[in-house]
Amino acid sequence: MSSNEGKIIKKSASLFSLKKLMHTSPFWSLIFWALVWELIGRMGWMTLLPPLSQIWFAFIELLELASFWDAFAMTARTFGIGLGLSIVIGIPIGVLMGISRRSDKILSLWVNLFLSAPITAVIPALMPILGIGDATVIATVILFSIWVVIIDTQAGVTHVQNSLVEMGKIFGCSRWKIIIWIVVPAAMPEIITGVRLSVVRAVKGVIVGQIVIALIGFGGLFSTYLSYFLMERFWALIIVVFVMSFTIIGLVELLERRIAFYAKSR
Amino acid sequence: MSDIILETESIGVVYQQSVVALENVSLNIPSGKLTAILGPSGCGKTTLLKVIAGLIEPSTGIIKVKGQQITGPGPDRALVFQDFALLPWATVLQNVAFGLRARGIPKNEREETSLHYIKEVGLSGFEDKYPHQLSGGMRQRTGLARALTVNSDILLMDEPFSAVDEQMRRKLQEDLLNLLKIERKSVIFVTHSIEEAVYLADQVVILSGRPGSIADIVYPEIDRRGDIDSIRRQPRYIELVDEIWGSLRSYVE
Amino acid sequence: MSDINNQKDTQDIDNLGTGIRSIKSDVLIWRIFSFFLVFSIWEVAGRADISIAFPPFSEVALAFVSMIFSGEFSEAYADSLPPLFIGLSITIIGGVIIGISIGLVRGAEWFIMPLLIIFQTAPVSALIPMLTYIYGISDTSKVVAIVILGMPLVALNSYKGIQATNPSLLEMSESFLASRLNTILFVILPSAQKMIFAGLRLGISGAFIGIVLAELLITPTGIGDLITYNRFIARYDKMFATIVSILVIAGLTLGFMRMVEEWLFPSEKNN
Repeated sequence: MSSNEGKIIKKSASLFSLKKLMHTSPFWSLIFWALVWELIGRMGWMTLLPPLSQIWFAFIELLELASFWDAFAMTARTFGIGLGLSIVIGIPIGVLMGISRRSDKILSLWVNLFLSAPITAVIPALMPILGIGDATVIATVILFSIWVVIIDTQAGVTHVQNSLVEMGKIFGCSRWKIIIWIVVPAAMPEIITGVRLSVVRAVKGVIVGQIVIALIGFGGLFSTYLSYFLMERFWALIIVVFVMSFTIIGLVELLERRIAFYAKSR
Repeated sequence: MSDIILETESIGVVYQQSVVALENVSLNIPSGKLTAILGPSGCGKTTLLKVIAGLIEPSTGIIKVKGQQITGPGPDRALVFQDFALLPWATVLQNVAFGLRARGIPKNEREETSLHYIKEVGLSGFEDKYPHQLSGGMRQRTGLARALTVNSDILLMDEPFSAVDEQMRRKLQEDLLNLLKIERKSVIFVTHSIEEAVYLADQVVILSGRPGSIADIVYPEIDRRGDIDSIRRQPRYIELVDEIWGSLRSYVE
Repeated sequence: MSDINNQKDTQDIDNLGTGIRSIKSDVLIWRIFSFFLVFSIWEVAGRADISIAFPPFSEVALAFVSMIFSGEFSEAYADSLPPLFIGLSITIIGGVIIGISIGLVRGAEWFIMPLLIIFQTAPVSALIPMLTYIYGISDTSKVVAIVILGMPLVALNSYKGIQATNPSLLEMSESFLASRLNTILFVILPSAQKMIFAGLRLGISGAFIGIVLAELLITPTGIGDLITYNRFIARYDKMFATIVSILVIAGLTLGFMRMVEEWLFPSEKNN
């Protein structure tokens, strides 16, 4: 075999090399794992892990169940209200803490504490007070997500360029105008980042809240499917929740990117 | 002899009871002329400008504008910033109109006024651009246009061309002189460049540092009526730059 | 002449962007005041008859102290702490190793990334009820719960830390002919340190959520039992006290982690 032929064979071999695969988008990695899942399911190694194809059929079934849509509505409702409140309450508190050193000194201790604390432990305490329904889940969502909004808003506010605030004063802006026209827009990139992170936490919050209560929403469905060993439906639901989570986060990331254009020129 | 539009009387600024930034600075700023405040880094010249702007309250002394004492920022003084201080999410037009918007001027009127000054500083065609799309020189023109829209008698400029490259800087200096021929403003211009001070100013106040106080006041008396290009060739210009550098050296070394 | 608000009102706006940070002795006083303020509000709110299930601060404090001395806490934690400790160790050590490996080995990223992203953003807690079916009602279930909630966060952040190494530092290392091992030890790891510790903090938080969920859902022994039992007999003061004890332990662990980070890598950026 001449050296030229040798080279050609080497080249064609490398076309299929693992290295090339590595440089492709991670999306293909997801496909890879989906195939692995299908395989494992079919081999029946783990009764808890049915093949992906069966889960797909279960998903179609789910879409026709009233119980699914009720749970979906409940989840969407409590998520939306909880997240909305977190943002609407959290941003002003963050602005306050960024502007007023006094309030920062009083509040930062608690905000930082609850940011990392296992809020889950508080849910059993909420149940007797707020009942087994929307209110407790909404409270859980707020308790999971508001702290990030506060902290990121505060960070954005404290990092506003000095000269922008001075410029506002020079041109005669009142304190409120400076806050609303200059400080909050200037802090927007950090605020949106905080909102994105809070969405992640809110999703966790709404699910955890429902799971701990175990009787309502998706949490209730998870519990039911497990106890009746309807694993295909269980996984279908898990995937639905995961996909919902990603979609919402993706939307917020889009928003983040639109705002990012001016973050660079600060 | 022109009128005095602004006076500083014995201005002193002390931080945290021990650091003396400015000491006994008394100045007269003539109306319609450009006064440069010149000094090495850290001599307190920006602090002085901010006191005059009303952003910093002096520990001692007072500022008077047209005979009246001032206590803070006012419509009589506009500031052009070293780092441009433009709103990054707003277009050039919106940025220039900001001062007017703060005063409650309705949209049509303020856009009209802004467009006029955008043209005057040479930014026509860039009204809808954002700061991140502009060069340093263009950003500063925006800041200048903004300062002009509010029609203050006094224009304060804090090392406005220092964040810009050399060629652009020269152009901006020339354009400023041309602009001042049209707009009759009293300008206080802070700089650390001797050349810039002599080139632009009718009065150069030299500040020495630590503590910041007036070392000397020089009157360039350079003929700027004619061709601006020839200024840097005038013997008087070259002499003065040397002279001032000579006396400043002792403070820098 | 324009009139601005007097100096005191604008003082707050003045401080904006100046980066002025408070002095250390000041902070302690404010912290104590803050505690006092919150506990007072709690006391008042508790007595305000909002709900029978919301006891005032004093009752909870008393219950807390009594439970320490009665041994209820020590008994319960003796049950709950071992799996927590094991789970935390696996989370920390395993997480950092996996994260660093993915960052360093060029092939690994492609395989592991989707898994890590899923585990980080999706509500993994939904899987916890399923653990009893695999591992039964046991400490193993608890450890697994802790690990699946905590480790991905540690691993992902360690990975990001490695990825974020300044390319010019890598070039520098190469130009000085440093071996791969030396580059890893002296350039990459130190520069990744901050993100690794951020990941540890997130992972530990996640781990605590894991243990709480495990206690509440899988098997109410130890701490979980204390909570559910006291709620059942309507001793809300004890229930709250137990919850507070969990929060305190989580807080102390995180605080300890912060101290370790400070000790290992002192930074000047502190206020």
